Amino acid sequence: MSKVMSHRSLERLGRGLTGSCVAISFALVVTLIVMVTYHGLTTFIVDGISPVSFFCGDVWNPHETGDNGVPLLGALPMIVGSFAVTLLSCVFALPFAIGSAICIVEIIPRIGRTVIQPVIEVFVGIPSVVFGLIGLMIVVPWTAGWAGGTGYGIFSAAIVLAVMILPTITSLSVDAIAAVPQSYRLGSYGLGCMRWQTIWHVVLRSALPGLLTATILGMARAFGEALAVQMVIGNATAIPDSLFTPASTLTSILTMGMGNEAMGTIPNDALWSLALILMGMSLVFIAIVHLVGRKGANVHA
Amino acid sequence: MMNTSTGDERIATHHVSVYYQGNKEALSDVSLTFHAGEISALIGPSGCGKSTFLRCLDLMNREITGCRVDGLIMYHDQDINQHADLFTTRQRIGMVFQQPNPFGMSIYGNIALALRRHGVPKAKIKGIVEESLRSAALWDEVKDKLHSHARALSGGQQQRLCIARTLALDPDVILMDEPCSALDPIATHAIEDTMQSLAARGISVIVVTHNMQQALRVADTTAFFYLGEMIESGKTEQIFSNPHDARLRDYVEGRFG
Repeated sequence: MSKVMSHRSLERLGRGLTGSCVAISFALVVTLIVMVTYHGLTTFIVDGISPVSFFCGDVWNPHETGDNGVPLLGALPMIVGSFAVTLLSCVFALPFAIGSAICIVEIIPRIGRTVIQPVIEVFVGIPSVVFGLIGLMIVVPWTAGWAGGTGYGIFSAAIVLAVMILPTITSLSVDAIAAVPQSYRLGSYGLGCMRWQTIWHVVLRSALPGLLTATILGMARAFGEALAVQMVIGNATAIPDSLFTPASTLTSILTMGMGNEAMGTIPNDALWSLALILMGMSLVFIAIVHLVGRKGANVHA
Repeated sequence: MMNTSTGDERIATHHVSVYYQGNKEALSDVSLTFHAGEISALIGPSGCGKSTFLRCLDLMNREITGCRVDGLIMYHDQDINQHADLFTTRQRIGMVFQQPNPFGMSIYGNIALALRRHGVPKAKIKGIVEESLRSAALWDEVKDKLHSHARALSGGQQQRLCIARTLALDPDVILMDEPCSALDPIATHAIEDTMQSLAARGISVIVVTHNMQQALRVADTTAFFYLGEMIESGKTEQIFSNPHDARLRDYVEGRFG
């Protein structure tokens, strides 16, 4: 009887331990979201900054006030900067990522999956400051060399980010392409289609939800990256008139400003609002991944 | 297809042997002849080489690394391993697989895909899709949902879609690798009917099956494979009622399988 009891209490202990782990993680996430939301909204609710002027204003100068006596908090330059570097880096990285993934899975599977894919995955773990440093030493001077100007700007940031997200997108794309059933390929060959036709019209098409997920996770990483971007983008808080003039992103302004503003002041609250936008965008990215994933699951069921 | 009559020699193999990686012999010295308008069954226990043999006939063996084929496979008086274009051969010799494998797209797209790749004009595709679905006895069931997803069909319907997809390329030989093993009896019956109507159109149907009842029901000729050799072939009736080889007799009587 005592043995039965000890079994039961062991079960209860296990359930309690794992349960509390979940509870703590969950509570952390919820607290974090609530906290960022609370501080982020303070700008609008307590400080009385109008959301319209925040999202559409193009002058960011928290310590100055405008003609109407309200601090100059226009986040548009950073919002534009963030979206621009994210989209551009994706445009740079995607062809290489999908191309390598096709090669790894379809053309040289043996070397591809045992040597190249693991090497690429090592790249995922390289700290972003390293990429930033390389960008600063190589990409910025190179850009300045042929485009003129300082070399700092959205273009350089997008290149550095593209290199950073390339391994992520490649690795996930490899998994997506490899998950296409072999029977699809054989069916296509059996109909006299060539390998390239099979890859393009059957394999890639079937892998599309997975490829989309890979892309969006890459974009999420690019959107949220702070350090590497901050090192090469120039950090000018105005809407840039070209890809080669200094600009800024939500993350770069956050990392630069957070240590300098006193808690509870309007400039500090405004930084929280930037964080809120960042968090909202990453939630959107994750939501899209889940939607795409569910659609993909239905298709292959 | 139009100027061939039943009984014409369609595919003939002469001393075909197949080796997989490491020179492992999977099939030894198989000589068989298949005629237009006939259904031929390849029977035998698992691993006897019947599927290996089938794969050689439309060069699917080329998708397996390290696979080597010796001997002659004559199709329209040409050795397919020497002269024929791989991609044309696979259009003229269709393959239906064991597991229904429609592509992850619409019913229409499944049939149109290969047609588009082979440069069939857009205006013709619609007609060919309907015609091949009718030939595969699937038209009435899917005509209202041609653009819905192929994977939403039942297993038997998916398999008939795969047959239709093959028929769209106007083949004169169709290879089927245990096409009913994943299907229920009613769907199996439908596929068997389709096989017979294909043969009636002059197509040479070659079907691998582990189901002896199926061979008896549909096949004109039957070949028995065992341990990588073709042991005996002949009219289906003779194979089942009066087998010469002791191993075939044991197999037919169900002593091993």
